[in-house]
Amino acid sequence: MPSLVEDDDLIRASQHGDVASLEILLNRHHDRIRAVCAKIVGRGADADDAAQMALIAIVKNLDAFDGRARFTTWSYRIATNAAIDELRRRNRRTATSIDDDDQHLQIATSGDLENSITAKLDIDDALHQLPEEFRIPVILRDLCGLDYDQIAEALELAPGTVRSRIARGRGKLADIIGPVTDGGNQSDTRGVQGHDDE
Amino acid sequence: MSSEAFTDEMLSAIIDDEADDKTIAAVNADPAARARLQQLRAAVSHVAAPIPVANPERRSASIAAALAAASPTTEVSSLAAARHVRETQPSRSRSAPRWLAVAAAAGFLIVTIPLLARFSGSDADETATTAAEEVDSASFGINDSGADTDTDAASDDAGDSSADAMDEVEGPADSDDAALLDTADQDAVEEAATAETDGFEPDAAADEQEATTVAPAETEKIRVVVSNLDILEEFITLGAVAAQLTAEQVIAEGVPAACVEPLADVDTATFDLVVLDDFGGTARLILVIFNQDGSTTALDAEDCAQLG
Repeated sequence: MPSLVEDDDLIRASQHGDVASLEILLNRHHDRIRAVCAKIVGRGADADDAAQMALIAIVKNLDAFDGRARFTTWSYRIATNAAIDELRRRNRRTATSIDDDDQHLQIATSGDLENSITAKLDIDDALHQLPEEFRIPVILRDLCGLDYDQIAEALELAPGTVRSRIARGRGKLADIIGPVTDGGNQSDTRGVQGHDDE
Repeated sequence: MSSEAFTDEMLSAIIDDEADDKTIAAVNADPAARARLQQLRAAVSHVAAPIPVANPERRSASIAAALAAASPTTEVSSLAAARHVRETQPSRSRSAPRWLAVAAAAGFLIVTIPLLARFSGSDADETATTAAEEVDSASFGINDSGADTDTDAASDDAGDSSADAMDEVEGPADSDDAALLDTADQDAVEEAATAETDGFEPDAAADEQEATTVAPAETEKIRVVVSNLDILEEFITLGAVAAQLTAEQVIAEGVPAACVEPLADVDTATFDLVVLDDFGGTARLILVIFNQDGSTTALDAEDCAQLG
Protein backbone atom coordinates (compact mmCIF):
# COMPACT_ATOMS: atom_id res chain seq x y z
CA MET A 1 0.00 0.00 0.00
CA PRO A 2 1.50 3.33 -0.96
CA SER A 3 2.44 5.55 1.91
CA LEU A 4 0.44 8.68 2.36
CA VAL A 5 1.96 12.04 1.84
CA GLU A 6 2.53 13.57 5.22
CA ASP A 7 0.35 16.43 6.32
CA ASP A 8 3.41 18.63 6.73
CA ASP A 9 4.32 18.20 3.08
CA LEU A 10 0.79 18.94 1.98
CA ILE A 11 0.69 22.00 4.17
CA ARG A 12 3.96 23.34 2.83
CA ALA A 13 2.83 22.79 -0.73
CA SER A 14 -0.50 24.39 0.01
CA GLN A 15 1.18 27.38 1.53
CA HIS A 16 3.04 27.77 -1.74
CA GLY A 17 -0.15 27.75 -3.72
CA ASP A 18 -0.49 24.10 -4.63
CA VAL A 19 -4.25 23.75 -4.68
CA ALA A 20 -4.13 20.03 -5.42
CA SER A 21 -2.23 19.45 -2.19
CA LEU A 22 -4.69 21.62 -0.37
CA GLU A 23 -7.53 19.57 -1.73
CA ILE A 24 -5.93 16.38 -0.49
CA LEU A 25 -5.40 17.95 2.90
CA LEU A 26 -8.99 19.10 3.16
CA ASN A 27 -10.33 15.78 1.98
CA ARG A 28 -8.19 14.00 4.51
CA HIS A 29 -9.41 16.05 7.43
CA HIS A 30 -12.95 16.93 6.45
CA ASP A 31 -14.66 14.03 8.14
CA ARG A 32 -12.81 14.50 11.41
CA ILE A 33 -13.54 18.20 11.40
CA ARG A 34 -17.17 17.61 10.64
CA ALA A 35 -17.35 14.98 13.36
CA VAL A 36 -16.14 17.51 15.90
CA CYS A 37 -18.65 20.03 14.66
CA ALA A 38 -21.44 17.46 14.70
CA LYS A 39 -20.65 16.42 18.25
CA ILE A 40 -20.70 20.03 19.35
CA VAL A 41 -23.70 21.36 17.45
CA GLY A 42 -25.55 18.16 16.70
CA ARG A 43 -26.00 16.42 13.42
CA GLY A 44 -27.63 17.99 10.43
CA ALA A 45 -27.22 21.12 8.42
CA ASP A 46 -25.74 23.05 11.33
CA ALA A 47 -22.87 20.61 11.53
CA ASP A 48 -22.24 20.92 7.82
CA ASP A 49 -22.38 24.68 8.03
CA ALA A 50 -19.88 24.67 10.86
CA ALA A 51 -17.61 22.23 9.06
CA GLN A 52 -17.64 24.36 5.96
CA MET A 53 -16.87 27.46 7.96
CA ALA A 54 -14.02 25.59 9.59
CA LEU A 55 -12.58 24.47 6.26
CA ILE A 56 -12.68 27.98 4.90
CA ALA A 57 -11.08 29.32 8.06
CA ILE A 58 -8.36 26.72 7.75
CA VAL A 59 -7.66 27.71 4.18
CA LYS A 60 -7.65 31.38 4.96
CA ASN A 61 -5.34 30.96 7.92
CA LEU A 62 -3.09 28.28 6.56
CA ASP A 63 -0.32 30.72 5.79
CA ALA A 64 -0.17 31.52 9.47
CA PHE A 65 0.16 27.89 10.47
CA ASP A 66 3.74 27.54 11.59
CA GLY A 67 3.86 23.88 12.48
CA ARG A 68 4.49 24.40 16.16
CA ALA A 69 1.25 22.60 16.91
CA ARG A 70 0.13 19.53 15.04
CA PHE A 71 -2.15 20.32 12.16
CA THR A 72 -4.86 18.16 13.68
CA THR A 73 -4.72 20.12 16.92
CA TRP A 74 -4.78 23.39 15.07
CA SER A 75 -7.63 22.32 12.84
CA TYR A 76 -9.64 21.00 15.76
CA ARG A 77 -9.31 24.35 17.43
CA ILE A 78 -10.65 26.02 14.32
CA ALA A 79 -13.44 23.49 14.06
CA THR A 80 -14.34 24.03 17.67
CA ASN A 81 -14.53 27.76 17.18
CA ALA A 82 -16.61 27.34 14.05
CA ALA A 83 -18.97 25.04 15.88
CA ILE A 84 -19.28 27.45 18.78
CA ASP A 85 -20.05 30.23 16.32
CA GLU A 86 -22.69 28.03 14.78
CA LEU A 87 -24.19 27.35 18.20
CA ARG A 88 -24.39 31.06 18.84
CA ARG A 89 -26.10 31.62 15.52
CA ARG A 90 -28.52 28.87 16.37
CA ASN A 91 -29.19 30.37 19.76
CA ARG A 92 -29.91 33.71 18.15
CA ARG A 93 -32.34 32.04 15.81
CA THR A 94 -34.01 30.27 18.69
CA ALA A 95 -34.20 33.42 20.74
CA THR A 96 -35.62 35.51 17.96
CA SER A 97 -38.18 33.16 16.58
CA ILE A 98 -40.12 30.59 18.48
CA ASP A 99 -42.22 30.30 15.38
CA ASP A 100 -39.21 29.01 13.59
CA ASP A 101 -39.04 26.12 16.00
CA ASP A 102 -42.61 25.34 15.14
CA GLN A 103 -41.64 25.32 11.52
CA HIS A 104 -38.90 22.78 12.10
CA LEU A 105 -41.25 20.70 14.20
CA GLN A 106 -43.70 20.63 11.36
CA ILE A 107 -41.01 19.57 8.99
CA ALA A 108 -39.88 16.82 11.32
CA THR A 109 -43.31 15.46 11.90
CA SER A 110 -44.27 15.60 8.29
CA GLY A 111 -41.11 13.88 7.11
CA ASP A 112 -40.55 10.18 6.95
CA LEU A 113 -40.27 8.18 10.12
CA GLU A 114 -36.55 7.71 9.89
CA ASN A 115 -35.90 11.41 9.76
CA SER A 116 -38.20 12.01 12.67
CA ILE A 117 -36.41 9.42 14.75
CA THR A 118 -33.06 10.86 13.82
CA ALA A 119 -34.20 14.29 14.83
CA LYS A 120 -35.46 12.92 18.11
CA LEU A 121 -32.16 11.21 18.78
CA ASP A 122 -30.36 14.42 18.07
CA ILE A 123 -32.52 16.27 20.52
CA ASP A 124 -32.06 13.60 23.14
CA ASP A 125 -28.39 13.21 22.64
CA ALA A 126 -27.00 13.10 26.12
CA LEU A 127 -23.85 14.81 25.05
CA HIS A 128 -25.75 17.95 24.27
CA GLN A 129 -27.07 18.10 27.77
CA LEU A 130 -23.59 18.87 28.91
CA PRO A 131 -22.70 22.51 29.34
CA GLU A 132 -20.45 23.74 26.58
CA GLU A 133 -17.51 24.22 28.93
CA PHE A 134 -17.49 20.49 29.68
CA ARG A 135 -18.71 19.18 26.37
CA ILE A 136 -15.96 20.61 24.22
CA PRO A 137 -12.98 19.34 26.22
CA VAL A 138 -14.63 15.94 26.45
CA ILE A 139 -15.15 15.86 22.70
CA LEU A 140 -11.60 16.88 21.99
CA ARG A 141 -10.34 14.19 24.32
CA ASP A 142 -12.65 11.28 23.67
CA LEU A 143 -13.54 11.85 20.04
CA CYS A 144 -10.44 13.54 18.73
CA GLY A 145 -7.93 11.83 20.96
CA LEU A 146 -6.07 14.98 21.90
CA ASP A 147 -4.10 14.87 25.13
CA TYR A 148 -4.59 17.34 27.92
CA ASP A 149 -1.83 19.65 26.76
CA GLN A 150 -3.16 19.76 23.23
CA ILE A 151 -6.64 20.48 24.45
CA ALA A 152 -5.28 23.15 26.75
CA GLU A 153 -3.54 24.72 23.80
CA ALA A 154 -6.58 24.47 21.56
CA LEU A 155 -8.92 25.98 24.12
CA GLU A 156 -6.39 28.29 25.70
CA LEU A 157 -6.97 26.81 29.12
CA ALA A 158 -4.62 25.57 31.80
CA PRO A 159 -3.97 21.81 31.57
CA GLY A 160 -5.29 21.38 35.09
CA THR A 161 -8.53 23.04 34.10
CA VAL A 162 -8.80 20.77 31.12
CA ARG A 163 -8.24 17.71 33.28
CA SER A 164 -10.90 18.82 35.71
CA ARG A 165 -13.44 19.68 33.05
CA ILE A 166 -12.96 16.41 31.25
CA ALA A 167 -13.46 14.47 34.45
CA ARG A 168 -16.52 16.47 35.42
CA GLY A 169 -17.90 16.28 31.91
CA ARG A 170 -17.51 12.53 31.81
CA GLY A 171 -19.07 12.27 35.23
CA LYS A 172 -22.07 14.33 34.24
CA LEU A 173 -22.43 12.39 31.04
CA ALA A 174 -22.24 9.11 32.93
CA ASP A 175 -24.98 10.32 35.25
CA ILE A 176 -27.15 11.23 32.26
CA ILE A 177 -26.60 7.92 30.53
CA GLY A 178 -27.27 5.97 33.69
CA PRO A 179 -25.88 2.77 35.14
CA VAL A 180 -24.01 0.33 33.02
CA THR A 181 -26.04 -2.83 32.87
CA ASP A 182 -23.40 -5.43 32.15
CA GLY A 183 -22.21 -5.83 35.68
CA GLY A 184 -19.38 -3.41 35.78
CA ASN A 185 -16.93 -6.02 36.91
CA GLN A 186 -14.37 -5.30 34.33
CA SER A 187 -10.94 -4.97 35.77
CA ASP A 188 -9.14 -1.94 34.66
CA THR A 189 -6.58 -1.98 31.99
CA ARG A 190 -4.49 1.00 31.36
CA GLY A 191 -5.69 3.43 28.83
CA VAL A 192 -9.14 3.86 27.54
CA GLN A 193 -8.92 2.93 23.91
CA GLY A 194 -11.98 5.02 23.54
CA HIS A 195 -11.86 4.98 19.80
CA ASP A 196 -11.80 1.24 19.67
CA ASP A 197 -14.62 0.72 22.06
CA GLU A 198 -17.26 0.95 19.42
CA MET B 1 -9.24 3.40 50.35
CA SER B 2 -13.01 3.58 50.26
CA SER B 3 -14.91 4.01 47.03
CA GLU B 4 -16.04 7.43 48.14
CA ALA B 5 -12.43 8.47 48.03
CA PHE B 6 -12.30 7.84 44.30
CA THR B 7 -13.38 10.99 42.59
CA ASP B 8 -14.38 11.17 38.97
CA GLU B 9 -11.15 13.00 38.33
CA MET B 10 -9.14 10.11 39.71
CA LEU B 11 -11.12 7.57 37.74
CA SER B 12 -10.92 9.70 34.67
CA ALA B 13 -7.16 9.73 35.05
CA ILE B 14 -7.23 5.95 34.85
CA ILE B 15 -9.13 6.14 31.60
CA ASP B 16 -6.56 8.54 30.27
CA ASP B 17 -3.67 6.36 31.32
CA GLU B 18 -2.47 8.90 33.81
CA ALA B 19 -3.06 7.07 37.07
CA ASP B 20 -0.38 5.21 38.96
CA ASP B 21 -0.43 1.48 39.58
CA LYS B 22 -1.43 1.88 43.20
CA THR B 23 -4.57 3.80 42.32
CA ILE B 24 -5.50 1.34 39.63
CA ALA B 25 -5.13 -1.57 42.02
CA ALA B 26 -7.22 0.18 44.62
CA VAL B 27 -10.00 0.84 42.16
CA ASN B 28 -9.98 -2.71 40.92
CA ALA B 29 -10.40 -3.88 44.48
CA ASP B 30 -13.41 -1.66 45.07
CA PRO B 31 -16.64 -2.79 43.34
CA ALA B 32 -18.31 0.60 43.64
CA ALA B 33 -15.33 2.41 42.21
CA ARG B 34 -15.10 -0.17 39.46
CA ALA B 35 -18.75 0.35 38.63
CA ARG B 36 -18.31 4.08 38.46
CA LEU B 37 -15.28 3.62 36.24
CA GLN B 38 -17.41 1.49 33.98
CA GLN B 39 -19.95 4.30 33.80
CA LEU B 40 -17.27 6.75 32.86
CA ARG B 41 -16.03 4.42 30.17
CA ALA B 42 -19.54 4.21 28.80
CA ALA B 43 -19.60 7.98 28.65
CA VAL B 44 -16.34 7.97 26.74
CA SER B 45 -17.76 5.44 24.31
CA HIS B 46 -20.81 7.59 23.88
CA VAL B 47 -18.70 10.55 22.87
CA ALA B 48 -16.48 8.48 20.64
CA ALA B 49 -19.40 6.89 18.86
CA PRO B 50 -19.05 7.43 15.12
CA ILE B 51 -21.48 9.68 13.39
CA PRO B 52 -22.76 9.36 9.87
CA VAL B 53 -20.58 10.99 7.29
CA ALA B 54 -21.75 14.04 5.45
CA ASN B 55 -23.86 13.90 2.37
CA PRO B 56 -21.27 13.37 -0.39
CA GLU B 57 -22.55 16.27 -2.40
CA ARG B 58 -22.43 18.60 0.52
CA ARG B 59 -19.01 17.33 1.48
CA SER B 60 -17.77 18.03 -2.00
CA ALA B 61 -19.37 21.45 -2.01
CA SER B 62 -17.79 22.36 1.31
CA ILE B 63 -14.35 21.40 0.11
CA ALA B 64 -14.87 23.20 -3.17
CA ALA B 65 -15.93 26.31 -1.32
CA ALA B 66 -12.82 26.19 0.82
CA LEU B 67 -10.61 25.63 -2.20
CA ALA B 68 -12.18 28.52 -3.98
CA ALA B 69 -11.49 30.65 -0.95
CA ALA B 70 -7.85 29.80 -1.28
CA SER B 71 -7.50 31.51 -4.62
CA PRO B 72 -10.32 33.97 -4.98
CA THR B 73 -8.73 35.95 -7.75
CA THR B 74 -7.34 33.17 -9.84
CA GLU B 75 -8.82 30.67 -12.19
CA VAL B 76 -10.18 27.56 -10.59
CA SER B 77 -7.42 24.99 -10.54
CA SER B 78 -8.54 22.52 -7.96
CA LEU B 79 -10.08 19.23 -8.76
CA ALA B 80 -13.20 19.71 -6.72
CA ALA B 81 -13.82 23.22 -7.89
CA ALA B 82 -13.11 22.22 -11.44
CA ARG B 83 -15.65 19.49 -11.20
CA HIS B 84 -18.22 21.99 -10.12
CA VAL B 85 -17.38 24.24 -13.00
CA ARG B 86 -17.28 21.41 -15.47
CA GLU B 87 -20.71 20.27 -14.40
CA THR B 88 -21.96 23.76 -14.87
CA GLN B 89 -22.86 25.36 -18.12
CA PRO B 90 -23.64 28.94 -17.25
CA SER B 91 -26.13 30.51 -19.56
CA ARG B 92 -25.29 34.01 -18.42
CA SER B 93 -22.35 36.21 -19.05
CA ARG B 94 -21.08 36.26 -15.49
CA SER B 95 -18.04 34.25 -14.69
CA ALA B 96 -18.91 31.14 -12.75
CA PRO B 97 -15.45 30.49 -11.28
CA ARG B 98 -15.07 34.04 -10.11
CA TRP B 99 -18.56 34.02 -8.69
CA LEU B 100 -17.86 30.71 -7.04
CA ALA B 101 -14.72 32.07 -5.48
CA VAL B 102 -16.33 35.20 -4.16
CA ALA B 103 -19.22 33.32 -2.68
CA ALA B 104 -17.06 30.64 -1.23
CA ALA B 105 -14.71 33.11 0.35
CA ALA B 106 -17.56 34.20 2.53
CA GLY B 107 -18.47 30.69 3.54
CA PHE B 108 -21.32 29.69 1.32
CA LEU B 109 -22.39 26.27 0.45
CA ILE B 110 -22.28 26.17 -3.28
CA VAL B 111 -23.97 23.59 -5.37
CA THR B 112 -25.01 23.20 -8.90
CA ILE B 113 -28.71 23.19 -9.43
CA PRO B 114 -30.79 22.93 -12.50
CA LEU B 115 -31.71 26.12 -14.21
CA LEU B 116 -35.24 24.90 -14.05
CA ALA B 117 -35.25 25.56 -10.34
CA ARG B 118 -37.74 28.27 -10.28
CA PHE B 119 -39.21 30.88 -8.11
CA SER B 120 -42.08 28.63 -7.31
CA GLY B 121 -45.48 29.99 -6.57
CA SER B 122 -46.64 27.34 -4.20
CA ASP B 123 -49.42 28.16 -1.85
CA ALA B 124 -48.45 30.26 1.06
CA ASP B 125 -48.79 28.30 4.21
CA GLU B 126 -48.04 28.96 7.82
CA THR B 127 -44.55 27.73 7.48
CA ALA B 128 -43.73 30.14 4.73
CA THR B 129 -45.32 32.96 6.63
CA THR B 130 -43.38 32.08 9.72
CA ALA B 131 -40.14 32.07 7.83
CA ALA B 132 -41.04 35.37 6.30
CA GLU B 133 -41.66 36.85 9.69
CA GLU B 134 -38.37 35.59 10.93
CA VAL B 135 -36.50 37.19 8.12
CA ASP B 136 -38.43 40.36 8.43
CA SER B 137 -38.19 40.90 12.12
CA ALA B 138 -35.05 39.32 13.27
CA SER B 139 -32.29 37.89 11.33
CA PHE B 140 -32.18 39.54 8.00
CA GLY B 141 -31.57 43.06 9.11
CA ILE B 142 -33.62 44.70 6.43
CA ASN B 143 -33.75 48.42 6.21
CA ASP B 144 -37.47 48.66 6.47
CA SER B 145 -37.77 52.20 5.30
CA GLY B 146 -35.86 51.49 2.17
CA ALA B 147 -37.68 48.34 1.46
CA ASP B 148 -41.01 49.92 2.08
CA THR B 149 -40.19 52.76 -0.19
CA ASP B 150 -39.47 50.46 -3.02
CA THR B 151 -42.42 48.28 -2.41
CA ASP B 152 -44.90 50.96 -1.64
CA ALA B 153 -44.05 52.65 -4.82
CA ALA B 154 -45.28 49.58 -6.52
CA SER B 155 -48.15 48.50 -4.40
CA ASP B 156 -49.70 49.51 -1.14
CA ASP B 157 -50.91 45.98 -0.77
CA ALA B 158 -47.43 44.86 -0.01
CA GLY B 159 -47.66 46.40 3.43
CA ASP B 160 -45.37 44.93 6.00
CA SER B 161 -44.44 42.10 3.77
CA SER B 162 -42.34 44.48 1.77
CA ALA B 163 -39.43 43.05 3.65
CA ASP B 164 -39.25 39.37 3.16
CA ALA B 165 -40.99 36.13 2.82
CA MET B 166 -40.05 32.70 1.80
CA ASP B 167 -41.56 30.44 -0.72
CA GLU B 168 -41.65 26.83 0.14
CA VAL B 169 -40.97 24.04 -2.25
CA GLU B 170 -41.56 20.70 -0.68
CA GLY B 171 -39.26 17.94 -1.74
CA PRO B 172 -38.25 14.52 -0.57
CA ALA B 173 -36.69 14.71 2.84
CA ASP B 174 -33.59 12.88 1.84
CA SER B 175 -33.10 14.43 -1.55
CA ASP B 176 -29.97 16.30 -2.38
CA ASP B 177 -30.02 19.91 -3.45
CA ALA B 178 -30.16 19.29 -7.13
CA ALA B 179 -32.82 16.68 -6.90
CA LEU B 180 -34.78 18.72 -4.47
CA LEU B 181 -34.99 21.67 -6.77
CA ASP B 182 -35.09 19.70 -9.92
CA THR B 183 -38.20 18.00 -8.72
CA ALA B 184 -39.70 21.11 -7.29
CA ASP B 185 -43.29 20.59 -6.46
CA GLN B 186 -44.89 20.93 -9.82
CA ASP B 187 -48.33 20.59 -8.35
CA ALA B 188 -47.71 23.55 -6.15
CA VAL B 189 -46.41 25.53 -9.06
CA GLU B 190 -49.42 24.77 -11.17
CA GLU B 191 -51.78 25.38 -8.32
CA ALA B 192 -50.28 28.75 -7.64
CA ALA B 193 -50.31 29.65 -11.28
CA THR B 194 -54.01 29.13 -11.40
CA ALA B 195 -54.82 30.50 -8.00
CA GLU B 196 -52.96 33.75 -8.47
CA THR B 197 -54.57 34.89 -11.62
CA ASP B 198 -52.85 38.20 -11.91
CA GLY B 199 -49.86 37.55 -9.77
CA PHE B 200 -47.20 34.96 -9.67
CA GLU B 201 -47.10 32.70 -12.67
CA PRO B 202 -43.77 30.97 -12.68
CA ASP B 203 -44.69 28.59 -15.43
CA ALA B 204 -45.35 31.39 -17.80
CA ALA B 205 -42.01 32.95 -17.03
CA ALA B 206 -40.29 29.64 -17.41
CA ASP B 207 -41.98 29.07 -20.71
CA GLU B 208 -40.65 32.38 -21.94
CA GLN B 209 -37.23 31.32 -20.80
CA GLU B 210 -37.48 28.07 -22.67
CA ALA B 211 -38.63 29.84 -25.78
CA THR B 212 -35.86 32.36 -25.89
CA THR B 213 -32.81 30.63 -24.48
CA VAL B 214 -31.36 27.19 -24.14
CA ALA B 215 -33.48 24.38 -22.83
CA PRO B 216 -33.36 24.72 -19.06
CA ALA B 217 -33.43 21.02 -18.42
CA GLU B 218 -30.09 20.68 -20.15
CA THR B 219 -28.48 23.53 -18.36
CA GLU B 220 -27.20 23.87 -14.85
CA LYS B 221 -25.78 26.81 -13.05
CA ILE B 222 -24.14 27.44 -9.76
CA ARG B 223 -26.40 28.76 -7.08
CA VAL B 224 -25.62 29.80 -3.57
CA VAL B 225 -27.34 27.72 -0.96
CA VAL B 226 -27.58 28.74 2.65
CA SER B 227 -29.13 26.68 5.36
CA ASN B 228 -30.30 29.50 7.55
CA LEU B 229 -31.08 33.16 7.41
CA ASP B 230 -28.38 34.26 9.77
CA ILE B 231 -25.81 33.03 7.32
CA LEU B 232 -27.61 34.73 4.47
CA GLU B 233 -27.51 37.96 6.40
CA GLU B 234 -23.83 37.58 7.15
CA PHE B 235 -22.98 36.82 3.58
CA ILE B 236 -24.91 39.76 2.27
CA THR B 237 -22.98 41.88 4.73
CA LEU B 238 -19.74 40.37 3.51
CA GLY B 239 -20.75 40.98 -0.06
CA ALA B 240 -20.74 37.40 -1.21
CA VAL B 241 -24.39 37.60 -2.08
CA ALA B 242 -24.03 40.57 -4.29
CA ALA B 243 -25.86 42.69 -6.78
CA GLN B 244 -24.88 40.72 -9.80
CA LEU B 245 -28.04 40.06 -11.74
CA THR B 246 -30.18 42.42 -13.73
CA ALA B 247 -33.93 42.41 -13.68
CA GLU B 248 -33.89 40.87 -17.11
CA GLN B 249 -31.72 38.04 -15.88
CA VAL B 250 -33.81 37.17 -12.86
CA ILE B 251 -36.92 37.26 -14.99
CA ALA B 252 -35.23 34.96 -17.45
CA GLU B 253 -34.49 32.59 -14.61
CA GLY B 254 -38.12 32.19 -13.72
CA VAL B 255 -38.97 35.09 -11.46
CA PRO B 256 -42.14 36.61 -12.85
CA ALA B 257 -41.84 40.06 -14.31
CA ALA B 258 -44.88 40.94 -12.26
CA CYS B 259 -42.70 40.49 -9.22
CA VAL B 260 -39.64 42.34 -10.37
CA GLU B 261 -40.97 45.25 -12.33
CA PRO B 262 -43.03 46.95 -9.62
CA LEU B 263 -40.15 46.98 -7.20
CA ALA B 264 -37.69 49.31 -8.80
CA ASP B 265 -36.43 50.76 -11.98
CA VAL B 266 -35.72 47.62 -13.88
CA ASP B 267 -32.95 49.32 -15.80
CA THR B 268 -30.93 50.06 -12.70
CA ALA B 269 -32.06 47.61 -10.02
CA THR B 270 -29.75 44.76 -9.11
CA PHE B 271 -30.55 41.36 -7.73
CA ASP B 272 -29.29 37.98 -6.71
CA LEU B 273 -30.97 34.64 -6.32
CA VAL B 274 -30.24 32.42 -3.34
CA VAL B 275 -31.58 29.08 -2.26
CA LEU B 276 -32.51 28.70 1.37
CA ASP B 277 -32.36 25.02 2.15
CA ASP B 278 -32.42 23.63 5.66
CA PHE B 279 -31.78 20.13 4.31
CA GLY B 280 -34.89 19.03 6.06
CA GLY B 281 -36.87 18.58 2.90
CA THR B 282 -37.67 22.20 2.35
CA ALA B 283 -36.05 24.61 -0.05
CA ARG B 284 -36.98 28.12 -0.96
CA LEU B 285 -35.75 30.29 -3.71
CA ILE B 286 -35.16 33.82 -2.55
CA LEU B 287 -34.94 36.92 -4.67
CA VAL B 288 -32.54 39.35 -3.03
CA ILE B 289 -32.99 42.93 -4.13
CA PHE B 290 -30.25 45.46 -3.60
CA ASN B 291 -31.99 48.76 -3.19
CA GLN B 292 -30.56 52.07 -4.25
CA ASP B 293 -30.33 53.25 -0.65
CA GLY B 294 -28.12 50.35 0.32
CA SER B 295 -30.80 48.33 2.02
CA THR B 296 -31.58 44.80 1.02
CA THR B 297 -34.89 43.13 0.52
CA ALA B 298 -35.61 39.45 0.15
CA LEU B 299 -38.78 38.29 -1.48
CA ASP B 300 -40.41 35.08 -2.45
CA ALA B 301 -43.36 34.05 -4.51
CA GLU B 302 -45.87 34.97 -1.88
CA ASP B 303 -44.65 38.52 -1.75
CA CYS B 304 -44.69 38.68 -5.47
CA ALA B 305 -48.25 37.47 -5.54
CA GLN B 306 -49.19 40.30 -3.24
CA LEU B 307 -47.38 42.77 -5.39
CA GLY B 308 -49.10 41.47 -8.46
